Amino acid sequence: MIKLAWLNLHRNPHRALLTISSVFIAAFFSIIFGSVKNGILNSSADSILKFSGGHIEIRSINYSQTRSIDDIMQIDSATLNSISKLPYIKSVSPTLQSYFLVSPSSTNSAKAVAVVGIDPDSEKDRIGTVLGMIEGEWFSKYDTGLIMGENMKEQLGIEVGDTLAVMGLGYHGTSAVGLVPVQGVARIPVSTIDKSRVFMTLSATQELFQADDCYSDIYIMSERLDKVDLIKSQIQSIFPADKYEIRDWKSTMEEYLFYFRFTDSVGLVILIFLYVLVGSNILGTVILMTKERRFEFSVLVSIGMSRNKLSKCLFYELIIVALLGVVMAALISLPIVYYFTNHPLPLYGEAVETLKKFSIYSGIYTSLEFKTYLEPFLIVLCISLAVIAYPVAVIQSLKVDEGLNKREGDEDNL
Amino acid sequence: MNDLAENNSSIIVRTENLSKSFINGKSEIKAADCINLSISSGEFTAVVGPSGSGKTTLLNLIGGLTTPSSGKVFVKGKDIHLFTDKELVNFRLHNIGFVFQFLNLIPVLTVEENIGFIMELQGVDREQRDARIAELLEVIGMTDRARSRPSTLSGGQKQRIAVARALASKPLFILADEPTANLDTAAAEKLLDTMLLLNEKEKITFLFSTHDPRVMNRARRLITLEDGRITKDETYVP
Repeated sequence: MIKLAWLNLHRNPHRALLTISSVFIAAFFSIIFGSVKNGILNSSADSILKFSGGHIEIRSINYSQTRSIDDIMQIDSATLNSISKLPYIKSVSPTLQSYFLVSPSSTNSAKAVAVVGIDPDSEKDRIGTVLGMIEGEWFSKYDTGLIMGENMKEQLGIEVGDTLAVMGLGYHGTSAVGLVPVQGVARIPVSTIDKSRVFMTLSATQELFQADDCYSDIYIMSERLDKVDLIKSQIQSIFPADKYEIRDWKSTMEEYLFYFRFTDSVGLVILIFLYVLVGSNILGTVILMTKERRFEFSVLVSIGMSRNKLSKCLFYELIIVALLGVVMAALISLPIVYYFTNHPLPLYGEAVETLKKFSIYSGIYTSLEFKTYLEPFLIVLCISLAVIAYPVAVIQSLKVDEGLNKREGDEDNL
Repeated sequence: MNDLAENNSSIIVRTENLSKSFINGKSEIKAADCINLSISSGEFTAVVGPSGSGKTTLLNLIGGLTTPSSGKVFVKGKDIHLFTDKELVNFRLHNIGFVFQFLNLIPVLTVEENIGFIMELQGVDREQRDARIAELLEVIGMTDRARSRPSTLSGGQKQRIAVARALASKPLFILADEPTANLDTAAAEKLLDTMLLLNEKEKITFLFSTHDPRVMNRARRLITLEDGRITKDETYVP
């Protein structure tokens, strides 16, 4: 039956090519579109996550509730190394975050700010890619100065090289007091952070707060968004749930998720439109084919081919066509998707600046994910299955004697 | 005649007050009007008559392709119009061979695949099928064209292949609707020779419609239809 279906496709190559082209166009554009959609979402999520946290955050349950420096985690370097060695992990960034009052030495005013102690090496892949230095230098590992945003610099009325007096509560009742030089000014794309946060190296922060080997948060960046759940489950086996809170990006970024879902919905509507177009195209071809072959179906049923067998034969024909179209689309789109995954198409103009304000990378990325290929494959197959209902219905209700009287085409078109 | 008696007799097809009407606008056309006939095993019968006399309708009724308006068709004592569609298709597959005027063969299959097609549908195993195909190709004199595609054959050759396919599974009888209509004299003669040879050699019953005098001359029985009614039923001894 499969052989007959395959051979039948050769009877009218134009018709077969037309149907294969319909399927190909649908599958090709849905792969490219799906890949671009996922690529942009992934890169946007990646940009945002780099600044606001990571794909996964670890902190102690108590700190999560109190935000008190006394409830931060004390973790040895061996444990941190063991996390870094887990598969699909891009970077592990331990941080120490607390609060202090800062006062320029030239004035009497003071401002409460959050201080984030970061490891300059591991943060290259996270905050380092988002912060753009305007003045001064990015951190070396043991620098003792701080980097702040332009907004904070203006509020405090200071320059790079000035010294700030800082005063806060240290770990377990100690005092965190010192003079900290301003090492640099950075462009911080999120204004709330620009106004309220300063950055120091992790070692300097731990020293200031007298909290050696202590961390308020550990941020983990994954190599791939779809591997976050896997990483989370592995980390849960290292950090017991009764002491540590492990959150993934979905729970920490609900407002961004809304944006992603919205973008996803818009993309879905476009995809549905595309599939409806193609579905109608395939249906049109199949209706035409059914009409042309009415006589043939009648002959086959009259000589004893059961309607079910005939339907099965047509089913195979359409499935072969659908598979050919989808496989061709996958093969042709693969190098394109692969190229743009590694070489994003840069965008220019005002929109780019707006996107940057939200720390979203402004370029067209594609995403080389299995699901990008699986989805069109399954959808086009489903469309084909839905479309096959038409000729099957015609065959099941075919009046053989009437069909035999309606000969169309030439003799070789049986 | 009761079913059991008919099962055991040589009568393979019997119609009983068989009628079929078509509605054309407001008028009713009687394509078959109270037809009673019997076909016995081994007959070589032609249904003749002018165009529109109901020849094709009668063949379609006997083959179970058309549902009668009234009356019955018994094949080996079984009223075939009481069958479900599925049973009827299966019944045709195992008991009736068909030869049509046009488009008999599946163009993508070779000659031997076309002949073996019905046997394949019946689930006959490959070895038996191949033996039967070779036997029939020899009978119709087309062994050398076994691997050819129908598009490379002449009209007469195609019809001979269609006849071979129809009787490949050794049906009770073969229904042929105007089998020579598109053939030239030589091809028609050759087809008739083949059909007669198979009728004699394989004891296959042929019932065919025609208005071709060449065919009428070779038939052993002529049933003449006019306006859906049998007006003459003559038997000739060769």
